[in-house]
This record gives sequence, C-alpha cells and structure tokens, in this order.
Amino acid sequence: MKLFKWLRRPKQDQEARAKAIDPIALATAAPAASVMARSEVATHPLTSLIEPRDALLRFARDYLLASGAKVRVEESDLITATLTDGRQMRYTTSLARARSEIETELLVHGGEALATLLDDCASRSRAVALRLWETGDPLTLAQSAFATPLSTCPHQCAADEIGNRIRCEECPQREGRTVLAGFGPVVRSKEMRRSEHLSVELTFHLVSTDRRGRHDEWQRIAFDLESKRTVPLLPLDALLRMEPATQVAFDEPAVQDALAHGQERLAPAAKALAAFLRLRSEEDYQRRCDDVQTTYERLLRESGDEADTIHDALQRELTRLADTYAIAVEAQLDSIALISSTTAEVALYDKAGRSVTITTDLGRACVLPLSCTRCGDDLQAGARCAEGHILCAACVQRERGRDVECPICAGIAPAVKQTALVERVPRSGKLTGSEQLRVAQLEAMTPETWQLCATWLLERMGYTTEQIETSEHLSRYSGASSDQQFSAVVMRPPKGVAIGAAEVQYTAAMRAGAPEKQAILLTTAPGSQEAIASAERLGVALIERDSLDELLAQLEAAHTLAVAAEEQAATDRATHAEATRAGLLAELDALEDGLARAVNTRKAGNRAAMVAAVEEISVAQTVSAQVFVAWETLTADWGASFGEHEARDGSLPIEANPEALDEMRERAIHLGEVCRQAFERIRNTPGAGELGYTAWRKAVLEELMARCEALRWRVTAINPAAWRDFAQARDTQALQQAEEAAQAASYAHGRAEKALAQLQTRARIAVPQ
Amino acid sequence: MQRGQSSLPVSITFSDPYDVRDALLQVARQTALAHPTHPNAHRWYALNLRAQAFRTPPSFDTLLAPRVLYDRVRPHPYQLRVVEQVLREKAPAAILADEVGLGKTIEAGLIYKELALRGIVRTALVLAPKALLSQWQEELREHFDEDFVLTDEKRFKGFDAEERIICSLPQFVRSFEKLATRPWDLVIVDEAHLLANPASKRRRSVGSLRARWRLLLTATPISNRLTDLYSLIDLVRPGMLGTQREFEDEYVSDPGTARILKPQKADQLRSTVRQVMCRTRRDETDIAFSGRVVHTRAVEATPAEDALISDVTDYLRRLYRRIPPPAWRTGEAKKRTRSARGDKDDTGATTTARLNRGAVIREIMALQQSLSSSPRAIEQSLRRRAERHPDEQAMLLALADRCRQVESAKERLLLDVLDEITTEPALIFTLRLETAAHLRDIIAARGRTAECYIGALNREERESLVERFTGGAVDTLIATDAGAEGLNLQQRCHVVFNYDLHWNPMRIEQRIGRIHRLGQEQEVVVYNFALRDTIDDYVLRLLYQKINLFTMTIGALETVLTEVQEGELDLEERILDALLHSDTPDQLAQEIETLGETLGDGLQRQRYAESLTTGVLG
Repeated sequence: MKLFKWLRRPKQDQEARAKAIDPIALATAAPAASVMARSEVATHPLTSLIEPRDALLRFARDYLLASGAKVRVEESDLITATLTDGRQMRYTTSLARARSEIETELLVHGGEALATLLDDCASRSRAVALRLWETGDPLTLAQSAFATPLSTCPHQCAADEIGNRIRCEECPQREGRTVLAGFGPVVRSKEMRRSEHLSVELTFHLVSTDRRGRHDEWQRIAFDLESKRTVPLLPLDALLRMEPATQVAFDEPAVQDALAHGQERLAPAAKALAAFLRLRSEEDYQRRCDDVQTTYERLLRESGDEADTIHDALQRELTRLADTYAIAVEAQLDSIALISSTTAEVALYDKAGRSVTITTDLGRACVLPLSCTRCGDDLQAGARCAEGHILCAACVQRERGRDVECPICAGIAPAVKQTALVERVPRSGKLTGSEQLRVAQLEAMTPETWQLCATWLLERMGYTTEQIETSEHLSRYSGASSDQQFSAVVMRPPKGVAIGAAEVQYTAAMRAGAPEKQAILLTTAPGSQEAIASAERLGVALIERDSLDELLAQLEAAHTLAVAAEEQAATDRATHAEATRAGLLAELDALEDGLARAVNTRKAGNRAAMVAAVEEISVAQTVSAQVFVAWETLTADWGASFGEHEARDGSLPIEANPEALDEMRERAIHLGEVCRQAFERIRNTPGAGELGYTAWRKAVLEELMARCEALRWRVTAINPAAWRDFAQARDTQALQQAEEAAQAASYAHGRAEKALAQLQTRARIAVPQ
Repeated sequence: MQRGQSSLPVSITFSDPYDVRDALLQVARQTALAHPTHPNAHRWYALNLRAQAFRTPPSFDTLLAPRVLYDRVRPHPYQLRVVEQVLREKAPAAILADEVGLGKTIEAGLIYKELALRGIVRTALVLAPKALLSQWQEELREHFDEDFVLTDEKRFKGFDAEERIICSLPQFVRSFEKLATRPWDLVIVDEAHLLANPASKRRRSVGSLRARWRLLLTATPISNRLTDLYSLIDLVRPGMLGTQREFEDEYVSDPGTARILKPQKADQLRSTVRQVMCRTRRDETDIAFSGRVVHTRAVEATPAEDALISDVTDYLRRLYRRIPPPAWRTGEAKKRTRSARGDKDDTGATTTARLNRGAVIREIMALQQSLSSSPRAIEQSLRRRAERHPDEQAMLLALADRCRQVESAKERLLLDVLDEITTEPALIFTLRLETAAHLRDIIAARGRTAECYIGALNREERESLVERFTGGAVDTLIATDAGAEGLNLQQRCHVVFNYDLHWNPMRIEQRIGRIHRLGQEQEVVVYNFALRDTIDDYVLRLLYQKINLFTMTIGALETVLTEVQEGELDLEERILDALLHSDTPDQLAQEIETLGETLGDGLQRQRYAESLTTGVLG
C-alpha cells in the first residue's frame, strides 16, 4: 500500500520494476536454452523449461554458468553440471534427495557445498571495475525529477515547512521529485556538459556479537569519488547495463581516500548497532553483575578472613562476565566496485528566468540530489534564494524568525509560514552520550538493525510479536500483549518528514474487523498536532519521536530504576512493618497495664460475693484464653512475615506485603479490645477473699500477665526498623525471653487450676464449664 | 567491598580481512593499462550481491547443524529441543543433564556445530575423563565432521596452537597455566559432576577459564549431596543461587549431610534450576532400543595352543617384570601426581623411566592382544619383534615357528556358530589384521561370502563394501576396531562376534554399537569368544559380567567408568598387570575379581547418584 508520499516511487520506476522480475537474477542467469529438462520419458517435451524451485538452487545454477560450467536443471530440486575441468557435480536443496543419492551435494545454509560456492563467488568479486552504459535522455530525466510547489496545497507544505510535513495526496514530492520554494515551474532545459564520473560502491559485512550470539548484515555505500556526494546504489536493473571497465584512473591515495570515506559513512550505522546491542543486554548484564557482587559480599561476611582471595575471585568473575556480555561490532570490507558512468549537467529554467543546475547520471538513469549550499546535505525539498543559492529545509527552518535571510548571500528567501508542529520541551541532557541509544541513532541504523530494534522495543513494551511484514520504511507487526491482541505500524520515514493524520488513520485501519485490538504507531519521526489529535480520536497509541526518546531513556535507566523500585518496595514494607510492630506492642502494653491495674486489696465480704467474683473471673478467663489463641496466631503470622535467614545483601527479608502487615495491626486492635474487656471484668472483682480465693485470683493474673509478656517478646524479637542488618533486626534473646515467659504462663496456669480446685472444694462452688 | 556499576564493554572495529584494498589496487593497475579486470566481472559482482542473502545465517529459530549433518547424525526431537533451548534461552552457559543414554554428547556436538557454522565459536575445548577421550574424538569426527585433537596425540602442537582440543581433566589441571592465558569460545565439560567439589583444583580451574560459552554434561548433577547441584550451577551462572550457605539455608533440610531437600522448596528449586539446566528423562522420550542377547562361549584350548599361550605369557611376564612396577602397587600414586602437577624440575629420570615404561607396556599389550587374537596374529607379532631385538631373535623365531603348527580352538567354535546361525549376516570383530584375513579365508571356504573391513581401505572401497554387505552380496563382515569407526550396519545385521576381547570396555561397547543403534529393529545377538582359563575368560566372567557390561543401558558404561577413580582408571593396563603380576591362575582370578569389585562399586555409586538426582530434579 502506497499511502505516504515518502513511500512512493515515480511511476516510470514502478513500471520498470514490474517488467524486471529479479533483475540481478536476470543479469546473471543462464540463457534459457541451457537449462532444458532431461526426461527419460520420450513424450516429455524437450523445450519445456524447469526452473529451480528455490533461490539457493537458482543461485547455484547461475554461479556454475558464470564459472563456465555446463548446467542442466534435471528437476526443480536438482541441477547437474559439468565443470570446466570435466568433473560432474549434482546439487540439490532437498534433504530427502541428498539422503537417497549419496553423490548429490546438499546446498544448505552453513553446508560445505554452499560455502564453497559462496566463497568462490566472493573472492571473484572482491574488487571490480564496471562501466554503466548510457541510457535515457538527460533533459527528460532532469525535468521529470523536478516539481513545482503547489500553490493550491492546503497545507502549503513545500512553502511552509519545507520537507518536514508534506503528506497530502497532491504533494509533488510523493514520487520522489525535488521541490524548491521560489522556483518553478520549469519551462525550459538545456544540457550544459557531459563528463565521465567515477563512483565507488563499498559493501561492508557488519558482524556483531553479543551474549545472544551473532548478527550479520550487509551494508552498501556508494558515493562519487571526487565530490564524495552520495550516489544511488546500483539499481538492480542497472546490472543489466553493466560491462567490465577498461580504463579507470585510480591510484593508491584515491583507494585510501575512498576506504576512509566509506568507513566514515558506515560509522553511524555501526555505532547505532553497537548502542542497540548494548542497551538490549545492559539490564541483564547489570543484574548479573549485581548477583555476583552481592554473592561475594555475602561470602565476605561469611568468611571474612579470606578477603583478598574473595576480592580476586570477584574481579575474575566480573571480568568473565564482561567477556561473556561484551558487544563487538566488526565492519568487514567485503567488496568494492569502481563504477564509471556518464553524467550530464542540465540547467532548468522557470518562467521568471531563474535557473537551477541539476546533474543527471545517465548510467543509473537518475538525477543526483541537489545539495544544500549551506550545510552540504542532500535535499529533496528546499528553497532557492534570489541569488540562486539552494538551501535545505533544515537550514531554512534555522533562519526562521531571523527574517529568513539566506545565510550565503543575505538575500531574502521566499516567505515562510509558521509551523504547526507541536513544540516540545527539550529533555534534560542527563542521558545523552554517544554510546547511548537515541532516536538519532535509530535513524542511522541499517534496515535489518532497525527491524531488530523495533521488535525488541515492542517486546520491552510488553508486546509479543507473532508476525512481521516489512518494506523499506514501514513494518507491520501483529501479536499479543498480556491482555489483548495488537497491531503495530513501525515507520522510519526519511529525515525531516513528520507523521501526519494519514499515517495514524492507516494504523487505525490495520485493526479493521477487530476493533478490540490495540493499534500502535511507533515512529522515529515527530508527530504533528493533527497526528496527535487523530491518534486520540481513533484510539491509536502514538509513540512518536519525543515519546520514543523518552522510552529509550527509560530503558537506558531500566536497571537503576528497577533497583530503586526494589529498594523503595523494601523500604515501604519495612515502614509498614515498623508501624505494625508499634501497633502490636502498644496493644500488648495496654493489656499488661490493664492487668497491673487489676491487682487490688478489696476483699470479698461474704461467700455470695466471692462466688460471684469466681464466676466473673472464670468467664473472663475463658474469653481471654480464646483471645490469646488468636493472639498466638497473630504473633506467628508476624514472625512468618520475615525471612528466617538473611538476604544476600545481609538484610532482613520482609516477605509480607504492606496490606498484610496493616491487616495484622487491625487484628491486634480488635484482639486488644476484646482482651481489655475481659481484663476489666477481672479488675472489677475483689482482690482478696477466703478459702484460697486470693491465691487463685493472683495465679490467674500472673498467667495472663506472663502470656502477654510472651507475646510482647515475640513481637519485640523482630525489629523492622533495623531491617538492613539481619543480625540487628532479629533478637534471638527476645525469643528466649518469650519462651521463658510462656513457661511462666504455663506454671501460673497450673497454679491457678490447682487453686481453683481447692477453692471449689473448700467453698463448695460449682463453676460453670 | 567497593561496589561500582561497570559498563558493558563495547568495541567497534573496521577491518579488511579479505585484502580488498590490495585487490582494488590490482584492479587499478590493470585498468590503467587498459586491461579489463575480468570479462565476467559484472556478473560475479551481481552474483555476490545475490549471495549476501545466503551468507547471512538465519536466527536460532532455524537450526543449521541438523541439515548440514544430514548424512551423519539424525537427532531425536528431544535432542533438538535441548539444542534450541540452550541456544535461545540459556545461552551462553548450560548444564545438559539428560538421563544416561539419551545422547548428551550428540546434544553438545550439535550445539558446538551450530555455533561453529554461524561463526560464533571457533576455539573449543572439551574436558572429559581419560576413559572417554577417544570416544569424544570419534563421535565428533563421525557425527559432526569435526577433527578435535587429543593432547596425547603426536600431532598435538600445544595448547596455544590448537583451536579444538580434547583434554583429560588431570591434564587440564596440570596445563592450566597454559590454557588460562587464552580465551576459549566454548568449553564442554563431560561428566561434570566431577567438578562438584568447590574446593577441588579442577573445579577452581574450570571456574577460572575464560570461556564465552560453557556446557556442562552430566547425568547426575547431584552425585552425593544437594550442594553438588549448587556447585555446578554456580559454575555456569555465578551468583544465581548466592553463596553455598545461602543455598543450604534456602533448600536443604539437613545442612550437615545436605541430602534432603526441603519439601516446600522442591518446586522453587526445580524452577530455578531449569533456568540453566536441560534435563530429559528416558520416559519423556519415544526412544526405544531393541534388547540384547549375550552368548559367552569359552572353549578349551588345544594342547598345542595351551602350551603356546603359556610360553608366550611367560615371556611377556619376564618382559613386564623388568620394568618398574605400576604406581598403584607401590603406593606412589599420590606422590607421583604431586610431582607431576607442581614440581617443574621433576622431569629427569623419573619422567624418562615413566615414558619408557609406557612404551614397553604398549609393546607388551600389543603382543598380548595378538596372543588373545589368534596363532596367526601372534606369529606375525613375534617375527616383527625378533627383527627389532636380535638378542632374543632365536627364542622369538622358535616361538613363531611353533605358531604355525597350532590349531585354534576359537576358529572351530566360530565356524560352528556360523553354521548355527545359517544365512544370518554377521559382523565379526577382531583385534588383528592377520586374524581377520585368516578368518575371511576359512569362512569363505565354508561357503559364506566374507570380506574384511579394515583401516587400510580407502573411502570408496569402504562405501562399496558396506553397500555390498547391506545389499546382501556379502554376508559376513570381518572388521578390525581401527577400521570400524563410523560403521553403521543396523539395517542389515543384528549378530556381532567379539572373536577376541578388547580389554577396554568402551571399545567393546563401540563394537556392539555398530549394529545396536537407532534403527535396529531386531534383538541384537552378541557372541563373546574366549579360551577357557585364559585371561580373556577371566575378564569376561569376573569383570564384565560383574557390571553387566553387555546388557547395560546404553551410555551407562561411561558414567560407571567415571565413577571409578574419577575416570582415570586405565583398565587395560590394570588387567595386563594382573595377568603378568600373578604367578598362578588363582592369583590372577583374585586380581581380576578385585578389579571387578571396584567396577561394581562404581556402578553402585552411579545408581545412587541417579536416584538422588531423580528424587530432587524429577
């Protein structure tokens, strides 16, 4: 789908492409007559062609033909060849055939047979000098590559924000044509001169390795040897028009120069790849480093007398870890082609007699882009000042608000309207750095790296990609997040292009038929106000340039943030635990206080009063026993909220979450209330009486007091305020005290039972069960 | 301890590995003289652009190795699953802990090959117990087309010079200084439970190796204590389980003996372990091996044969007693190991004596093997020795002449058994070429079509012979051990003869493995021949039957041998020593029985470790 102007191609180009199916294959393929089928059945027509079924076999066929072998395509999965030295070879890509026919070589990725072909092919084409035949008329080429700014354009794209937000259907740039404000329409053209130009095309093999393995990609870079200006890569159909060059003026300094320039051109892509791989591994690496460091720290605590040994071992381990996770990007120069081509300079004139000179490459049948007089960048849209200087969109933008002077001649360029782009507050410069991944580096990435990176970004955002369709600037992803399906459009338009409503609408349309799907538009381009409004209206999650930059910054700091979040969570839990402990102790203190106040010297005046008191105390005692069981459970829960062993960093692990800790505090308040009511009943009874009453009441109070004390020690045994130091946070002596108090409670209970029995006998009291 | 956030090392380099610059200058010089570079230059250039697509390896979702090795190895689905898991999820370090016999070597080999094909791994070091070194070399050669060099081979150029090495663990420890200086792309440690002791030098040495990828192979990651598991995991993912004490606090119920896992922590431990370990149990696979039937036939030697054996053995005994006794007899083993490890000056007389001893032992062993093989074989061996030792010539030639008169009892037995199995195709293994040639003649005389499959045949001759055997044109194949490497005959044959006995049980297993492997649908019948009351008879009865060698689960033998003296037991030399040290048959039987008990203990230990591992890891 060719929705966006930056995805469009001139019509003539499309037609040419339609005609030429796999032009490289055509350029290197065998004549049809040499690939006739052989058949044992006489009725099989001799002239019928069999095409090898897969690209690998077709490549092998073409390789063999290029090396002078006689090749026959026996079956769609089998070719045979007689090599120039007379050897007979059979190649297949079918595993079954290779297994059944021992003499047939299997062509498979990584296999020896294929490696031999590939290595030979590469070694024969390391350095070649080629010449392109002339094709096309320079005047026609020049005129068709130039367009006039649209006076009727509602967005006044070309005139307003040159190159930044041209998105409408009428835009002349949609077919890759150049637009200059202050120039056009072209009414006349004239060829000025022709000359031979030598350009160079370098192919680099980018090999990158990280913990996950290895990633390979290829990058071609082409530029004019003299001016170093970018020239288009050899188009596939140009390969049909190539011949070996016979005379190329090229010396050693020129070689050095070309290679140095090639490296300079490749460097941003290589750096971007390294930055991406680093970011992809960084969090895991830091986590592993933390694991190792905390382990060794603990080891040091466990056996402090071996500090030096442990320190050495740690350093060794960290070095090993760095070895394992190291990122290496190697750009290997694979081949170089010197390409000689005829260029023609053509002057284009508009009605007003203003002229622009443009260079056409007759070998490549294309127009070389104009370059900005100020910054030297190639441009597709720009402005021509009255003196004829050409400025790119960015340079025009820079001069905005300063009377739009042409910085070259101080002449006045055509008026420029204010932009409708959303103004963003610039980010703080904390996370900038050449090694860090930023949008600028995403833009410098090769297409393969970009696709890897985009997939990873979606993954980090929680989306698992199941399917990818990709083209030059746009990829469509579909898959699922944890809770819903999604479809995403990932765009990396050329520099200077902003995302508009059309792109957002396109993204929204991707979920047609499944409105519940989440639609995401992820792009390196800035978003216009229209795009943002449209995204809000259509429910599309728009992650444009600035948001993407923020996302990258977050990912960069992911490990630090995760560590900080863990620390925060631990501190939160500790704070809640502290509050709970305080709450529990306050309740227990109050209970002990209540029991202390229950001691009195008031005497039961008669038997009836004593019987009533016994009854009251017994009821309170029963209630208290029940509540103390709940208290025991609560203190057990409290103890279980903390780890039995120190955490790796030496802290007290707080395993309960804040809600659970808060709930314990509430339980304590409730239990305290019930207990207090029971103790109040005891307090209201006489403190002394006849026939052993006094001893019994005292024993009951002692038991309750001891049980409170045991509970208090259990709570005190853990001090979450000191959670960072396990030894300090866990008080083992307090636990012993708790045991002793529990023992004392048990003895007091025994005494109380005994005293009650005596009292019942002596006073003939029947106590309710 | 000072803590700091270290940043991930990143390097970006530009290189010209193919000398493109020079090639370009050459082109410039040619074109300056108006010479076209090449008439097809544009075509090659275009082809090379097309080739880029095929030079970029696909992601790990598509494995290359199984397709590249299509004619060498056919991995089981569970093995491929393990390879995928390691490459995609566990990289760059993992423990392969499949149960015995499920092919951990194949998995490790596939991982190595996959990484090598993708250019990720170039240098590789395999560490294994001594008993398994040659098996590793053969498997890597046969299944993965990879030529690894053993450190004791003549062609070994040194640790710095070789890219792919197989080394025994003690040798590794001794040579650690040399090995540690260079980084390795991949290190594979077989029978890795030998590294479980964190204080051992070998464990620390492996831990200190600079290796990007690490694979530890063991069927029993827990051989004695739960902390064995900790130790291995800490080797592949340091810090993952914290310190050993932390691990014990977390998972172990009995910190003293560390044999009981806290029940409530079992699932947590298994899930943690799964992050670094792949373990397949036999019952999780659809692997089904046919059974084995073993017939051990001991036959009385003919009187002349008996006398010959006795006289030659006496001669060998005299030879053997001239050299210093082995270390295990003098109790010098530890002292010797210490001096070899640490004392660099200790390379004088002791080392020379040891080397001489080794050479004599090899010579005696060769003679003894010939004697066990056939009168024809010992005759040739004695004559060859007579040429090298003029002082013993008369006696040796006299013995050799007697061999001609001797009729072999095993020959008669073989012919009888072949008659019993009628037209069934058979694979006969022998140690000696002379025996093989003689057997071919006498078998052919009985009407069977017999051929020799020996190391001297070239590739075409081998392929042709195998084709004739599998096609039915030949029904008896007589193979020597050296010749039979890489032979797969399971489709045609299910009867194998050990005409003479190899004293290395691994070699016996390899012989049977030629027909007892995946694809064998019939029960495998193994015939073992020996002359009664000879050393071979004792070895068969008292040693191999003790550990059920012939019916043992495939792959279990390696583990058992590893359990005996940590894989350093040289069984062949021990048997030879028993034979030549003993003066009476009873003494010999006693010696062999003791050796059998040692192997039996190894078997017990292996079974215990297996049950412990299964109990903890499932």
